[in-house]
Amino acid sequence: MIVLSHISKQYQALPILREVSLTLAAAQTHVLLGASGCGKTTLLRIMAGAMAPDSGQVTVDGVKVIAADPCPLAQIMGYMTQEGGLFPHLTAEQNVTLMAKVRGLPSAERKARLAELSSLVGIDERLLAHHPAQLSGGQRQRVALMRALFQQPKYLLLDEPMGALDPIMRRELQSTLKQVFEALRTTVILVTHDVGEAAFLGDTITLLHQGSILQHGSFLDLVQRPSDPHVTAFLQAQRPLPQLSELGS
Amino acid sequence: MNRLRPLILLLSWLLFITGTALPSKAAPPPSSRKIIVAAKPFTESYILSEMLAQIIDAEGEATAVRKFGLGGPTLVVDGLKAGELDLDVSYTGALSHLFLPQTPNPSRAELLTALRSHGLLLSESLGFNNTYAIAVRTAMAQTLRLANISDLIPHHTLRGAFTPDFLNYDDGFYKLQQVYGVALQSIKPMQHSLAYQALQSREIDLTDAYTTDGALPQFELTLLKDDRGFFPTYFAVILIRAEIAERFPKTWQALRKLEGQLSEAQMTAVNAQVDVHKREVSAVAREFLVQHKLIGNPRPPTRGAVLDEGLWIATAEHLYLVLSALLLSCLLGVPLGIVAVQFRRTGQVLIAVTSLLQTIPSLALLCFLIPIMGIGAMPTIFALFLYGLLPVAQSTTAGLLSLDSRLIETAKILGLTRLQRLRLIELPMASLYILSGIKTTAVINVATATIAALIGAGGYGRFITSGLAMNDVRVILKGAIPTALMAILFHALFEQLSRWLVPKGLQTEPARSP
Repeated sequence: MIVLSHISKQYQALPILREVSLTLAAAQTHVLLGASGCGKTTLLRIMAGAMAPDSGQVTVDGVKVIAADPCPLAQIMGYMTQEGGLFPHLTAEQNVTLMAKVRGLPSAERKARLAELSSLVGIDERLLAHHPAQLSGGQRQRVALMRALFQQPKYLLLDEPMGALDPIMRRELQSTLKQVFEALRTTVILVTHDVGEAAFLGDTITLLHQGSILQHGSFLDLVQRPSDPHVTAFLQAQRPLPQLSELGS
Repeated sequence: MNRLRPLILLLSWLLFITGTALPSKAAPPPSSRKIIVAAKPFTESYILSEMLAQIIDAEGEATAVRKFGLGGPTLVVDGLKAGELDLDVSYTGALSHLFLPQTPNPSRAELLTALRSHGLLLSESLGFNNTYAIAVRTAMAQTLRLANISDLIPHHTLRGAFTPDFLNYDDGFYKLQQVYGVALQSIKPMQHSLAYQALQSREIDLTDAYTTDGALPQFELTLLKDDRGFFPTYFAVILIRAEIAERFPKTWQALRKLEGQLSEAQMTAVNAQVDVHKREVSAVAREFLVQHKLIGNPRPPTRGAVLDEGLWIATAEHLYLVLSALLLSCLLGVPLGIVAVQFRRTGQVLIAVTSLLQTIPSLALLCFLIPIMGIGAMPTIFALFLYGLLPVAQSTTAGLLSLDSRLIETAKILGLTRLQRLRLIELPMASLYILSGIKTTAVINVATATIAALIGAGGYGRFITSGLAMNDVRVILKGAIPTALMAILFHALFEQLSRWLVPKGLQTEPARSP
């Protein structure tokens, strides 16, 4: 369980987060939803211990997170960013097994885990010999997901993992993620600005607006009992597909 | 770093190979039967020292090792005092200036005493007085009616260029100006052979010359008479370490047979054989020695003579200098670049210092280093290493700063420590930059290493130095062309190396669509 209490953060005198308090239960998928600049990525990085808040505190499983270099929670957290954050000079496999190697996991175990994960995320194992530049955007994200999952993390932090993908790949990866989340029952915190993605993947959704939480609840809660007109406005902002009848002959 | 390691290993290996291919670098131990003969970069010095070397070899007590083309009399005397050189042909005027600067016109006895305190001995004069003279174009001498130096007094618009030594000596040009009351429009320092060219193309009007200069007739120059007896005498003498004279008495005896053998006219004629007729120094020296029965049946020189010296020895020497310096530059430059990124303030200071080093002219830097490191390969390698530091450090810094900060952030979040990030992520990703810095350094080293000849470290520079000294383009090209080729080769080698060492994923390759 992750508990955030009264988290505030400024960047060059500009408030990014204001007094954010939030409790995220284990074994669920929590979506941090909001427009660009609402503070959702900053919040994710504070949870990971990559950045210290100006005030307030984070506890993970009851232990206070103290930001440090390298990240103190790296052992129990998997992390993945929009572009995947794969290192271009390493092959996909080297990217995936980087930390396991650094921590001295035997080669046989690494091989077994690679096979297991590549079938889980749906990537041909042969592709793992390639460098990131030789892979498609979707393949890169699957490799990044493998890297995030490799050490069986208790928490999975995903920062707009589908942000750079075209709609078809995005849809495929969303399905993959849903299967993975259900199979692993890991605690997932996923940052996105896509309402459909949030509704599809999230057990809970936290809608952020200008550094504050507008509403926290299930998608149904947000639709049926919006706490603020902004909530409804955000949920309906995505343009629906036009009806066939509207398109004329 | 794991990507750079093979490069370091390769460099060390190449260094070992070239190192073992070289004739011994350091000053030989006292037990060795070698006599190191020095020569300064002008024709007469090459010829006379070559004569000494051939006499030594003919005598058979020891073998001569030629260190020819050394930067100047001060350098050679320092080398003799330090025991890094054994003998040289010197001039009494120059020695008086160096050893008894306070005594005007010291006697031979005074000079001998001064030299003995430094463990040095002197032969009698070889016969000729090669003193300074002022040279002008013969045509100009006729129009302006110049015969004596004092005839220059009324002419204030003349332009002079003089060898740096002549400008610096107390009995050099500035003193001459005082004694004669001569005033010139401009005074520039210039190498001898260049000054003659400049004189011929009317860029300057007068220069200093030597009275035995073989090139004088070729350039149609007239020497002005020293009508006030200003110039001291510069009798040629053999300067030798006393220890060598004692250890090889027969050789010293044989060398002294040169005493009184060369008149001014003879020396000028011998010099002209090389300067004007472009004959090889070793051949001219051998011919003179045989004619004067100073050596018997000459053995054809197999190696070591100035111009027949195998190109491969020069190549090995050059490579040795370039590679050792490059290795040191990498070993210190890369960490320096890393420090400059991690600690900005300290880094800026360090980079500023290395930039400053870059601005020191190479010869000046060598002069600073000689009192500390002596002559030969050591100071050259050190100088090249200092020059190479900046490109390597700067390319490392540039490479590290060019990295995508989001990737570094990801590495932090994955849990890599600073050192692990540096080793596994940052340096490999910056390797393309770092290698290009190392390539620049290698190419600069190849070019700069040519100055090594001036301080006895050999390399291709020996041909360039002697070619310049004897105004022989063919000899200059013998050094210049291999230097250019080696620079191109290094360039190509590093292009290939970066294909091999830089991680595949960083080399531009089109992204493949699935």
